[in-house]
Amino acid sequence: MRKVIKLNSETQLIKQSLKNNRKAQKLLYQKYAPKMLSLCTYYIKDLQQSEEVMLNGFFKVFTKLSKYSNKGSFEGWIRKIMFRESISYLRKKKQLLFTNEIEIYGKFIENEVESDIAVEDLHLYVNQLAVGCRVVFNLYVVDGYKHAEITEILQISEGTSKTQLSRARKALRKMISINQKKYHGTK
Amino acid sequence: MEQNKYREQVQNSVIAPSDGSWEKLSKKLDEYDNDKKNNKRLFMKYAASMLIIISIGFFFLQPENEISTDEIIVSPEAGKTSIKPSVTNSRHEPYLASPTENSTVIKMSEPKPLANEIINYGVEESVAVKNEDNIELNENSQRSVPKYYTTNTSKVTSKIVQQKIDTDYEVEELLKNAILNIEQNGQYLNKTKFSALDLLGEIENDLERDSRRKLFEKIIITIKNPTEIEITDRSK
Repeated sequence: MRKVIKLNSETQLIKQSLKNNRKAQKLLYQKYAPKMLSLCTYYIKDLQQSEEVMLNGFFKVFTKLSKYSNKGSFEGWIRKIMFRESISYLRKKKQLLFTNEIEIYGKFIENEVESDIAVEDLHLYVNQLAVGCRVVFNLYVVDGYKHAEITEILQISEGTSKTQLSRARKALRKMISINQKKYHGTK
Repeated sequence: MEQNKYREQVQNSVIAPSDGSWEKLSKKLDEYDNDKKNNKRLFMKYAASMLIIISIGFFFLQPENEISTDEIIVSPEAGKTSIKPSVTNSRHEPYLASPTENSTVIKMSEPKPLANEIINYGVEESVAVKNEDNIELNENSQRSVPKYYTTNTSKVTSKIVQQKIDTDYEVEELLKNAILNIEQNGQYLNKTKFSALDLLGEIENDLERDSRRKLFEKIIITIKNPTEIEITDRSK
Protein backbone atom coordinates (compact mmCIF):
# COMPACT_ATOMS: atom_id res chain seq x y z
CA MET A 1 0.00 0.00 0.00
CA ARG A 2 1.24 3.43 -0.87
CA LYS A 3 1.98 5.73 2.02
CA VAL A 4 0.65 9.27 1.70
CA ILE A 5 2.70 11.93 3.41
CA LYS A 6 1.01 15.22 4.15
CA LEU A 7 3.31 18.18 3.78
CA ASN A 8 0.98 20.85 5.01
CA SER A 9 2.72 22.21 8.06
CA GLU A 10 6.22 23.54 8.37
CA THR A 11 6.99 20.92 11.02
CA GLN A 12 6.07 18.16 8.59
CA LEU A 13 8.22 19.76 5.92
CA ILE A 14 11.18 19.92 8.29
CA LYS A 15 10.67 16.31 9.42
CA GLN A 16 10.53 15.06 5.86
CA SER A 17 13.49 17.22 4.85
CA LEU A 18 15.47 15.55 7.61
CA LYS A 19 14.72 12.24 5.90
CA ASN A 20 16.14 13.66 2.67
CA ASN A 21 12.71 13.93 1.09
CA ARG A 22 13.46 16.12 -1.92
CA LYS A 23 9.88 17.23 -2.34
CA ALA A 24 9.73 18.55 1.19
CA GLN A 25 13.08 20.24 0.72
CA LYS A 26 11.87 21.82 -2.49
CA LEU A 27 8.76 23.13 -0.77
CA LEU A 28 10.86 24.65 2.00
CA TYR A 29 13.16 26.15 -0.57
CA GLN A 30 10.28 27.64 -2.53
CA LYS A 31 8.84 29.10 0.63
CA TYR A 32 11.96 30.83 1.89
CA ALA A 33 14.25 31.34 -1.12
CA PRO A 34 12.76 34.69 -2.29
CA LYS A 35 13.07 36.25 1.17
CA MET A 36 16.57 34.90 1.65
CA LEU A 37 17.71 36.11 -1.72
CA SER A 38 16.46 39.56 -0.83
CA LEU A 39 18.37 39.38 2.44
CA CYS A 40 21.56 38.33 0.66
CA THR A 41 21.29 41.24 -1.74
CA TYR A 42 21.47 43.57 1.29
CA TYR A 43 24.93 42.23 2.02
CA ILE A 44 26.17 41.41 -1.46
CA LYS A 45 25.48 43.88 -4.23
CA ASP A 46 25.61 41.49 -7.16
CA LEU A 47 22.38 39.49 -7.64
CA GLN A 48 24.10 36.44 -9.18
CA GLN A 49 26.62 36.26 -6.40
CA SER A 50 23.82 36.76 -3.91
CA GLU A 51 22.02 33.79 -5.43
CA GLU A 52 25.15 31.66 -5.21
CA VAL A 53 25.52 32.58 -1.58
CA MET A 54 21.84 31.85 -0.98
CA LEU A 55 22.17 28.40 -2.58
CA ASN A 56 25.19 27.66 -0.42
CA GLY A 57 23.16 28.80 2.55
CA PHE A 58 20.29 26.47 1.66
CA PHE A 59 22.74 23.62 1.17
CA LYS A 60 23.89 24.18 4.72
CA VAL A 61 20.29 24.46 5.88
CA PHE A 62 19.44 21.00 4.51
CA THR A 63 22.66 19.28 5.53
CA LYS A 64 22.65 20.74 9.05
CA LEU A 65 18.93 20.53 9.58
CA SER A 66 19.39 18.08 12.44
CA LYS A 67 20.99 20.91 14.41
CA TYR A 68 17.83 22.96 14.30
CA SER A 69 16.47 22.59 17.81
CA ASN A 70 12.94 24.02 17.24
CA LYS A 71 13.82 26.96 19.47
CA GLY A 72 12.75 30.14 17.76
CA SER A 73 11.33 30.38 14.28
CA PHE A 74 12.67 28.29 11.45
CA GLU A 75 12.83 31.42 9.32
CA GLY A 76 15.01 33.14 11.90
CA TRP A 77 17.35 30.13 11.88
CA ILE A 78 17.63 30.25 8.09
CA ARG A 79 18.22 34.02 8.16
CA LYS A 80 21.13 33.52 10.54
CA ILE A 81 22.68 30.98 8.22
CA MET A 82 22.16 33.31 5.27
CA PHE A 83 23.78 36.42 6.68
CA ARG A 84 26.64 34.38 8.11
CA GLU A 85 27.13 32.84 4.70
CA SER A 86 27.08 36.30 3.15
CA ILE A 87 29.66 37.62 5.61
CA SER A 88 31.85 34.59 5.05
CA TYR A 89 31.62 35.19 1.32
CA LEU A 90 32.69 38.82 1.76
CA ARG A 91 35.58 37.71 3.95
CA LYS A 92 36.69 35.19 1.35
CA LYS A 93 36.66 37.90 -1.29
CA LYS A 94 38.55 40.17 1.10
CA GLN A 95 35.90 42.81 0.73
CA LEU A 96 35.02 43.06 4.38
CA LEU A 97 37.44 45.75 5.54
CA PHE A 98 36.89 48.18 8.37
CA THR A 99 39.44 50.86 7.56
CA ASN A 100 38.96 54.55 8.22
CA GLU A 101 36.97 55.37 5.15
CA ILE A 102 37.08 58.89 3.87
CA GLU A 103 33.80 60.68 4.37
CA ILE A 104 33.06 61.75 0.86
CA TYR A 105 29.55 62.87 1.65
CA GLY A 106 30.54 65.92 3.62
CA LYS A 107 28.39 67.60 6.19
CA PHE A 108 24.65 67.32 6.19
CA ILE A 109 21.78 68.73 8.10
CA GLU A 110 19.34 66.18 9.50
CA ASN A 111 16.37 68.45 9.08
CA GLU A 112 16.89 68.52 5.37
CA VAL A 113 15.97 64.82 5.00
CA GLU A 114 12.38 63.78 4.55
CA SER A 115 11.27 60.83 6.59
CA ASP A 116 9.24 59.04 3.92
CA ILE A 117 11.31 56.92 1.64
CA ALA A 118 10.64 53.67 -0.16
CA VAL A 119 12.37 50.58 1.12
CA GLU A 120 13.73 49.86 -2.33
CA ASP A 121 15.23 53.33 -2.52
CA LEU A 122 16.92 52.93 0.83
CA HIS A 123 18.19 49.57 -0.33
CA LEU A 124 19.77 51.27 -3.30
CA TYR A 125 21.45 53.81 -1.03
CA VAL A 126 22.62 51.13 1.34
CA ASN A 127 24.21 49.34 -1.58
CA GLN A 128 26.24 52.46 -2.29
CA LEU A 129 27.88 52.26 1.12
CA ALA A 130 31.32 50.79 1.72
CA VAL A 131 31.14 47.06 2.57
CA GLY A 132 32.05 47.45 6.23
CA CYS A 133 29.45 50.17 6.78
CA ARG A 134 26.85 48.27 4.83
CA VAL A 135 27.30 45.05 6.75
CA VAL A 136 27.20 46.75 10.14
CA PHE A 137 24.17 48.82 9.09
CA ASN A 138 22.30 45.72 7.83
CA LEU A 139 23.14 43.72 10.92
CA TYR A 140 22.02 46.56 13.16
CA VAL A 141 18.99 47.88 11.31
CA VAL A 142 17.71 44.99 9.19
CA ASP A 143 18.55 42.01 11.40
CA GLY A 144 18.27 43.88 14.69
CA TYR A 145 21.56 42.88 16.32
CA LYS A 146 23.13 44.89 19.14
CA HIS A 147 26.70 46.19 18.91
CA ALA A 148 27.91 43.53 21.33
CA GLU A 149 26.50 40.82 19.05
CA ILE A 150 27.91 42.47 15.94
CA THR A 151 31.37 42.49 17.49
CA GLU A 152 31.08 38.74 17.99
CA ILE A 153 29.80 38.07 14.49
CA LEU A 154 32.32 40.25 12.68
CA GLN A 155 35.11 39.91 15.24
CA ILE A 156 35.61 43.64 15.55
CA SER A 157 35.62 45.97 18.53
CA GLU A 158 32.44 47.61 19.71
CA GLY A 159 33.96 51.02 18.93
CA THR A 160 34.55 50.00 15.32
CA SER A 161 30.99 48.74 15.06
CA LYS A 162 29.60 52.01 16.37
CA THR A 163 31.87 54.05 14.11
CA GLN A 164 30.84 52.06 11.06
CA LEU A 165 27.17 52.47 11.87
CA SER A 166 27.56 56.18 12.47
CA ARG A 167 29.31 56.59 9.16
CA ALA A 168 26.63 54.58 7.37
CA ARG A 169 23.93 56.69 8.92
CA LYS A 170 25.60 59.94 7.97
CA ALA A 171 26.28 58.77 4.45
CA LEU A 172 22.71 57.60 3.92
CA ARG A 173 21.30 60.87 5.17
CA LYS A 174 23.56 62.74 2.84
CA MET A 175 22.60 60.58 -0.13
CA ILE A 176 18.91 60.89 0.55
CA SER A 177 19.25 64.64 0.94
CA ILE A 178 21.10 64.97 -2.33
CA ASN A 179 18.54 62.83 -4.17
CA GLN A 180 15.60 64.72 -2.75
CA LYS A 181 17.14 67.96 -3.86
CA LYS A 182 17.82 66.56 -7.28
CA TYR A 183 14.47 64.94 -8.05
CA HIS A 184 12.02 66.81 -5.89
CA GLY A 185 13.67 70.16 -5.67
CA THR A 186 13.43 70.30 -1.90
CA LYS A 187 15.93 72.20 0.20
CA MET B 1 9.55 52.49 15.74
CA GLU B 2 10.71 53.48 12.31
CA GLN B 3 13.51 51.01 12.58
CA ASN B 4 11.03 48.21 13.25
CA LYS B 5 8.88 49.34 10.35
CA TYR B 6 11.86 49.38 8.06
CA ARG B 7 13.01 46.03 9.39
CA GLU B 8 9.63 44.46 8.79
CA GLN B 9 9.46 45.81 5.30
CA VAL B 10 12.99 44.67 4.46
CA GLN B 11 12.43 41.23 5.95
CA ASN B 12 9.24 40.78 3.95
CA SER B 13 10.76 41.98 0.72
CA VAL B 14 11.29 39.20 -1.80
CA ILE B 15 13.38 38.63 -4.88
CA ALA B 16 12.52 35.58 -6.97
CA PRO B 17 15.49 33.32 -7.56
CA SER B 18 16.44 32.42 -11.11
CA ASP B 19 14.94 29.39 -12.85
CA GLY B 20 16.83 26.21 -12.25
CA SER B 21 18.25 27.39 -8.93
CA TRP B 22 16.48 24.53 -7.14
CA GLU B 23 17.86 22.01 -9.64
CA LYS B 24 21.35 23.29 -8.90
CA LEU B 25 20.78 22.86 -5.20
CA SER B 26 19.15 19.46 -5.65
CA LYS B 27 22.13 18.25 -7.69
CA LYS B 28 24.50 19.47 -5.02
CA LEU B 29 22.51 17.70 -2.34
CA ASP B 30 22.49 14.47 -4.37
CA GLU B 31 26.27 14.61 -4.74
CA TYR B 32 26.61 15.20 -1.04
CA ASP B 33 24.40 12.20 -0.26
CA ASN B 34 26.36 9.99 -2.65
CA ASP B 35 29.65 11.10 -1.11
CA LYS B 36 28.26 10.37 2.32
CA LYS B 37 27.19 6.88 1.23
CA ASN B 38 30.54 6.24 -0.42
CA ASN B 39 32.34 7.37 2.70
CA LYS B 40 30.21 5.01 4.74
CA ARG B 41 30.98 2.13 2.37
CA LEU B 42 34.66 3.00 2.39
CA PHE B 43 34.65 3.09 6.17
CA MET B 44 32.90 -0.28 6.30
CA LYS B 45 35.43 -1.73 3.86
CA TYR B 46 38.33 -0.45 5.94
CA ALA B 47 36.72 -1.72 9.12
CA ALA B 48 36.09 -5.15 7.57
CA SER B 49 39.63 -5.45 6.21
CA MET B 50 41.08 -4.41 9.56
CA LEU B 51 38.95 -6.99 11.30
CA ILE B 52 40.13 -9.69 8.88
CA ILE B 53 43.78 -8.70 9.32
CA ILE B 54 43.46 -8.70 13.09
CA SER B 55 41.73 -12.08 13.15
CA ILE B 56 44.33 -13.61 10.79
CA GLY B 57 47.12 -12.15 12.90
CA PHE B 58 45.52 -13.49 16.04
CA PHE B 59 45.19 -16.91 14.44
CA PHE B 60 48.81 -17.13 13.29
CA LEU B 61 50.42 -15.54 16.32
CA GLN B 62 49.04 -18.08 18.74
CA PRO B 63 51.75 -20.13 20.54
CA GLU B 64 52.86 -23.22 18.67
CA ASN B 65 51.84 -26.26 20.67
CA GLU B 66 51.39 -29.59 19.09
CA ILE B 67 48.52 -31.62 20.22
CA SER B 68 48.66 -35.22 19.28
CA THR B 69 47.54 -38.56 20.55
CA ASP B 70 50.52 -40.81 20.83
CA GLU B 71 49.60 -43.74 22.96
CA ILE B 72 46.43 -45.16 24.31
CA ILE B 73 46.78 -46.70 27.68
CA VAL B 74 44.43 -48.67 29.81
CA SER B 75 43.69 -47.40 33.24
CA PRO B 76 44.60 -50.21 35.60
CA GLU B 77 41.85 -49.33 38.09
CA ALA B 78 38.78 -48.70 35.99
CA GLY B 79 39.94 -50.70 33.05
CA LYS B 80 38.76 -47.97 30.71
CA THR B 81 40.76 -46.56 27.84
CA SER B 82 42.51 -43.26 28.42
CA ILE B 83 45.19 -41.27 26.73
CA LYS B 84 48.73 -40.94 27.89
CA PRO B 85 49.62 -37.27 28.30
CA SER B 86 53.01 -36.07 27.26
CA VAL B 87 54.03 -32.42 26.99
CA THR B 88 56.28 -30.74 24.47
CA ASN B 89 57.09 -27.08 24.60
CA SER B 90 59.84 -25.56 22.53
CA ARG B 91 59.95 -22.43 24.69
CA HIS B 92 60.79 -24.31 27.89
CA GLU B 93 57.63 -23.10 29.52
CA PRO B 94 55.12 -25.50 30.86
CA TYR B 95 52.16 -25.18 28.59
CA LEU B 96 48.97 -27.11 28.80
CA ALA B 97 47.32 -27.59 25.50
CA SER B 98 43.64 -27.02 24.92
CA PRO B 99 41.83 -29.61 26.90
CA THR B 100 38.73 -29.64 24.78
CA GLU B 101 39.13 -33.22 23.67
CA ASN B 102 39.78 -36.38 25.54
CA SER B 103 42.60 -37.14 23.17
CA THR B 104 44.74 -34.29 24.46
CA VAL B 105 48.40 -35.11 24.75
CA ILE B 106 50.84 -32.54 26.02
CA LYS B 107 54.47 -32.84 25.09
CA MET B 108 57.39 -31.21 26.89
CA SER B 109 61.10 -31.21 26.21
CA GLU B 110 62.11 -30.54 29.81
CA PRO B 111 64.25 -33.11 31.65
CA LYS B 112 62.34 -36.15 32.81
CA PRO B 113 63.68 -37.27 36.14
CA LEU B 114 60.49 -38.94 37.16
CA ALA B 115 60.34 -41.00 34.06
CA ASN B 116 63.88 -42.21 34.59
CA GLU B 117 63.34 -43.05 38.20
CA ILE B 118 60.12 -44.78 37.48
CA ILE B 119 61.83 -46.91 34.88
CA ASN B 120 64.63 -47.67 37.35
CA TYR B 121 62.12 -48.91 39.85
CA GLY B 122 60.68 -51.09 37.19
CA VAL B 123 57.37 -49.34 36.69
CA GLU B 124 55.47 -50.22 33.57
CA GLU B 125 55.97 -47.80 30.73
CA SER B 126 52.29 -47.62 29.95
CA VAL B 127 51.63 -45.59 33.09
CA ALA B 128 54.80 -43.53 33.08
CA VAL B 129 53.90 -39.86 33.17
CA LYS B 130 56.60 -37.64 31.79
CA ASN B 131 55.25 -34.34 32.98
CA GLU B 132 56.73 -33.03 36.14
CA ASP B 133 54.52 -29.92 36.10
CA ASN B 134 51.25 -31.71 36.24
CA ILE B 135 51.75 -33.76 39.32
CA GLU B 136 50.00 -33.24 42.61
CA LEU B 137 51.44 -35.32 45.40
CA ASN B 138 49.67 -37.25 48.06
CA GLU B 139 51.21 -37.30 51.48
CA ASN B 140 51.59 -41.06 51.35
CA SER B 141 53.42 -41.03 48.07
CA GLN B 142 56.03 -38.42 48.99
CA ARG B 143 58.32 -41.02 50.47
CA SER B 144 58.98 -42.74 47.21
CA VAL B 145 58.56 -39.77 44.85
CA PRO B 146 61.56 -37.59 44.03
CA LYS B 147 61.93 -34.16 45.59
CA TYR B 148 61.59 -32.65 42.15
CA TYR B 149 57.80 -32.91 42.32
CA THR B 150 57.30 -31.15 45.60
CA THR B 151 59.06 -27.97 44.47
CA ASN B 152 56.76 -27.47 41.54
CA THR B 153 53.52 -28.50 43.12
CA SER B 154 52.01 -25.03 43.70
CA LYS B 155 53.04 -23.80 40.27
CA VAL B 156 51.60 -26.83 38.63
CA THR B 157 48.38 -26.74 40.57
CA SER B 158 47.60 -23.21 39.40
CA LYS B 159 48.08 -24.26 35.80
CA ILE B 160 46.07 -27.38 36.06
CA VAL B 161 43.09 -25.29 37.17
CA GLN B 162 43.02 -23.79 33.71
CA GLN B 163 42.40 -27.13 32.12
CA LYS B 164 39.03 -28.66 31.61
CA ILE B 165 37.70 -31.08 34.15
CA ASP B 166 37.98 -34.09 31.86
CA THR B 167 41.71 -33.70 31.31
CA ASP B 168 42.32 -32.95 34.96
CA TYR B 169 40.51 -36.04 35.95
CA GLU B 170 42.45 -38.13 33.46
CA VAL B 171 45.79 -36.75 34.56
CA GLU B 172 44.93 -37.24 38.20
CA GLU B 173 43.84 -40.77 37.51
CA LEU B 174 47.03 -41.56 35.68
CA LEU B 175 49.16 -40.00 38.40
CA LYS B 176 47.37 -41.88 41.12
CA ASN B 177 47.83 -45.10 39.22
CA ALA B 178 51.48 -44.34 38.62
CA ILE B 179 52.08 -43.55 42.29
CA LEU B 180 50.24 -46.70 43.35
CA ASN B 181 52.34 -48.75 40.99
CA ILE B 182 55.48 -47.12 42.26
CA GLU B 183 54.54 -47.94 45.80
CA GLN B 184 53.54 -51.51 45.01
CA ASN B 185 56.61 -52.21 42.97
CA GLY B 186 58.74 -50.39 45.50
CA GLN B 187 57.57 -52.78 48.25
CA TYR B 188 58.27 -55.75 46.06
CA LEU B 189 61.75 -54.53 45.22
CA ASN B 190 62.49 -53.91 48.89
CA LYS B 191 61.58 -57.50 49.75
CA THR B 192 63.82 -58.90 47.05
CA LYS B 193 66.65 -56.75 48.20
CA PHE B 194 66.44 -57.86 51.82
CA SER B 195 65.89 -61.52 50.87
CA ALA B 196 69.30 -61.51 49.20
CA LEU B 197 70.92 -60.72 52.51
CA ASP B 198 68.84 -63.41 54.15
CA LEU B 199 69.92 -65.75 51.46
CA LEU B 200 73.55 -65.04 52.24
CA GLY B 201 72.89 -65.62 55.90
CA GLU B 202 71.09 -68.83 55.15
CA ILE B 203 73.97 -70.00 52.96
CA GLU B 204 76.43 -69.20 55.69
CA ASN B 205 74.31 -71.05 58.18
CA ASP B 206 74.12 -74.03 55.87
CA LEU B 207 77.88 -74.07 55.43
CA GLU B 208 78.43 -73.82 59.13
CA ARG B 209 75.97 -76.60 59.78
CA ASP B 210 77.59 -78.78 57.12
CA SER B 211 81.11 -78.32 58.49
CA ARG B 212 79.85 -79.05 61.97
CA ARG B 213 78.16 -82.18 60.75
CA LYS B 214 81.37 -83.36 58.99
CA LEU B 215 83.40 -82.64 62.10
CA PHE B 216 81.04 -84.60 64.27
CA GLU B 217 81.09 -87.51 61.77
CA LYS B 218 84.92 -87.61 61.88
CA ILE B 219 84.90 -87.49 65.65
CA ILE B 220 82.45 -90.36 65.75
CA ILE B 221 84.53 -92.44 63.25
CA THR B 222 87.70 -91.79 65.19
CA ILE B 223 86.02 -92.82 68.40
CA LYS B 224 84.65 -95.99 66.82
CA ASN B 225 87.92 -96.98 65.04
CA PRO B 226 90.86 -95.67 66.93
CA THR B 227 94.02 -95.52 64.81
CA GLU B 228 97.58 -95.42 65.91
CA ILE B 229 99.09 -92.18 65.50
CA GLU B 230 102.75 -92.14 64.66
CA ILE B 231 104.54 -89.16 65.85
CA THR B 232 107.58 -88.36 63.85
CA ASP B 233 110.46 -86.54 65.30
CA ARG B 234 111.30 -83.63 63.07
CA SER B 235 114.47 -82.83 64.87
CA LYS B 236 116.02 -85.88 63.40
